[in-house]
Amino acid sequence: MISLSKTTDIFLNVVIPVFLGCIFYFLKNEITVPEMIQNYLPDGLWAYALQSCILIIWNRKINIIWSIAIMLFAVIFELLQYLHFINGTGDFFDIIIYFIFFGIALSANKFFISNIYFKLTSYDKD
Amino acid sequence: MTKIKKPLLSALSIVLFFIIALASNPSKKTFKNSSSWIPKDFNPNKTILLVEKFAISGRAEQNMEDYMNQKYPYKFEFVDIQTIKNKEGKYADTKLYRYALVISSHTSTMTKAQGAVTSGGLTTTGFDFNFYDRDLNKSYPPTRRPSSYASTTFKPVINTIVKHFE
Repeated sequence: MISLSKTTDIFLNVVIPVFLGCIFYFLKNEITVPEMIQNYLPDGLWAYALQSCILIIWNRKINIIWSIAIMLFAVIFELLQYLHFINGTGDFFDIIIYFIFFGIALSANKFFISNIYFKLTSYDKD
Repeated sequence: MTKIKKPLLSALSIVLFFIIALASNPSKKTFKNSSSWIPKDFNPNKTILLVEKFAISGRAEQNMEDYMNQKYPYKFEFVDIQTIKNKEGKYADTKLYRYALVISSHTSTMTKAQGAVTSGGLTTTGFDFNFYDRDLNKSYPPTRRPSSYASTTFKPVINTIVKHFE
């Protein structure tokens, strides 16, 4: 079983996905990848990192209220774009991608808890 | 203090992540491949750009027109694709109305992965834009940065054109 501190967990599941998303966002004009990946992967990585961040804050215990809250915020975010209250254009497929990657983060949570031992010095015991 | 620490951190995380998302919205984006799709002869100061109306959605069409009025400092007109191709009446002057920005759409399908339980795939239509030279009847390559909403691609296209001629 692998031992993982909270800092490493944050780095692995929050910092790296956000960093990769940013790199992908800034380099997408320079690299050739399938259009679907080009358009949606940064959004997916963003959603994965956000869900992971919430999970890590709550010591990898699924907090239903906050998990639903971020999903609602994601829908509201796209809706506000669609209604032109904020810049951007609401995209229905963005919402699908958010939910897929929220799901991946929640599934990965199960994996992290059952396969990777979190150091109790870094994670609360409650 | 510890009771409010986690909710506070959660709320802060959400705010931070949405700031990141807002920072990457299409209204600020530009494409770096402008040389591959903006015609070399195109000069927005000398010609009136025709932009194809987005017939599928009146809301998106209005969104695009509003964006042009707000961001594009040169002359332009929104017309339907027949007007662009027919070259009749006012638009017969292919020197003044030489270039048009037309919509090119294509469909892509995310096929079922081998071994997947569910059947079928996810099909999306990508909207892209390309220049059309009305004088030479020549279509230029699209931006190759399509999205499932025309205005999502349209905004960075206009940003890129404006930046190109700054």
